[in-house]
Amino acid sequence: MRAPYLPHRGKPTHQFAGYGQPTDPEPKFYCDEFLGDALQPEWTATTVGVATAAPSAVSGGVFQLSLTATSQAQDALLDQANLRAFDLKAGLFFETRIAKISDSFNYQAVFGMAGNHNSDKDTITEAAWFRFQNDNGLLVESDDTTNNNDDVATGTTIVLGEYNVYGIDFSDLNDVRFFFNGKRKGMGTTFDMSNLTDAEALMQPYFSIDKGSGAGITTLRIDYVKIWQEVRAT
Amino acid sequence: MLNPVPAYEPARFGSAAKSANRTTEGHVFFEDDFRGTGLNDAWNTVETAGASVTLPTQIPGGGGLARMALTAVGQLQDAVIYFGDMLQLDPSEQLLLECRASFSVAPTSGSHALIGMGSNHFAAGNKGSMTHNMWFRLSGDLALLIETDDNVTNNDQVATTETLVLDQFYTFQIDLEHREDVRFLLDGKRLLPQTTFDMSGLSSSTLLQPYIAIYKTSGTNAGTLDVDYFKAWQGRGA
Repeated sequence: MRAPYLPHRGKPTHQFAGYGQPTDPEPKFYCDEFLGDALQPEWTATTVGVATAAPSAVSGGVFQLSLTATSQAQDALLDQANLRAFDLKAGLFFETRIAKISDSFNYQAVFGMAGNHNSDKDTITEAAWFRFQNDNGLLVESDDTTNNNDDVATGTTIVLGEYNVYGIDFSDLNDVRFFFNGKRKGMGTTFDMSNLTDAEALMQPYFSIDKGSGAGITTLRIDYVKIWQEVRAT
Repeated sequence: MLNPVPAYEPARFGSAAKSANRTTEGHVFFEDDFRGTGLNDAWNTVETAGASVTLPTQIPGGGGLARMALTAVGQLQDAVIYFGDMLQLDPSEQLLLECRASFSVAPTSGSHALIGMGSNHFAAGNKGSMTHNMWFRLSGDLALLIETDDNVTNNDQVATTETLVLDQFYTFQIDLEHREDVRFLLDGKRLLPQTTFDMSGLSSSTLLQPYIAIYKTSGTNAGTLDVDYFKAWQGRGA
């Protein structure tokens, strides 16, 4: 038996006869399953060196970021070209399903919500994301330009090749919450992002792996990205 | 992303539009309503000779569609929309495909149309070389045929009792809940329930892509296929 289908999302906000009861505007919902042979136009894939970033012929569609064995600086990045269309002050929830296929050394991987891209990830002014750094230990980070929580260990070690669901709940910017397969992580730390200005709170989904040098290889497969935003533009 | 619920949902799936936990992984869902001036970037096209794939403006009733057309020039022509051989649809994941389409110019002798999914693209004249396929087919007229091929069991041009009406939209569905008994539905009605379309020869790693085509190998026969939307659902694999 199939699991239930996703909910119907086609209901008019301001109702007309025959469409049922009036409702408030539905939350903004964004989803990409990475199906087909090219990215949707809102995305930009960037590579440095011989790293690769491309859709892959995998069941259900994935976007794959890979560092290769060539010893050089490499970066494989997927973002929305600094077009920051998502508002952390609007009750945002970020979710992605990712498998780390291979793992090596001398690399870092981050994925979550971020401000403008920088090849030095720690230089990105504002962000909240999951992080791997040279191993399979899951870290979480947040930075609102004032409160900077770097490399917070979660105690979770992922299994290579397995998909996991990563969520970040921004409904309370005084206490941003990170979830791994539905379980809250980093509970010993308060991830305070309340210092974000309105402009800084506009962010983009951001996925990156990079290395400065060395022959390490690493691959991330992104199955989907989903973002809910409770409040629409005002 | 509007209405990711099948237009005709077989009763065994329960009621449509169930409420969802917002962190559920849910189904993989793909939809294209063919709005705007260009195809969704997921698609690739083949437009051989004078055949064309366009998104015409000012559609009666609005909403957008992809128009795939052959011209009356006597030559091989092929108009296809597909995923550019990026095979990502998984028959092992209870795949359900749905496409709403109409013929505004009927295929005549020598022109053919396919609505369904397959493995890597082959040009007009060699579509039968596609290793795996399952699709609705029209061949020379508006009589609806069904074909499946899992590289073991090959069902070619199986006649249904349905003949399409020109300029009328139909909902075509292919249901792979059970690969050994693939179901083809037209406007929610199962076609040829007594015929077994067995795709169990597919390996668990076989992947497919959407494949919608109108083509001819020669002759002056035309044909125009208007695709209103394409949707696909599948389970989320490991």
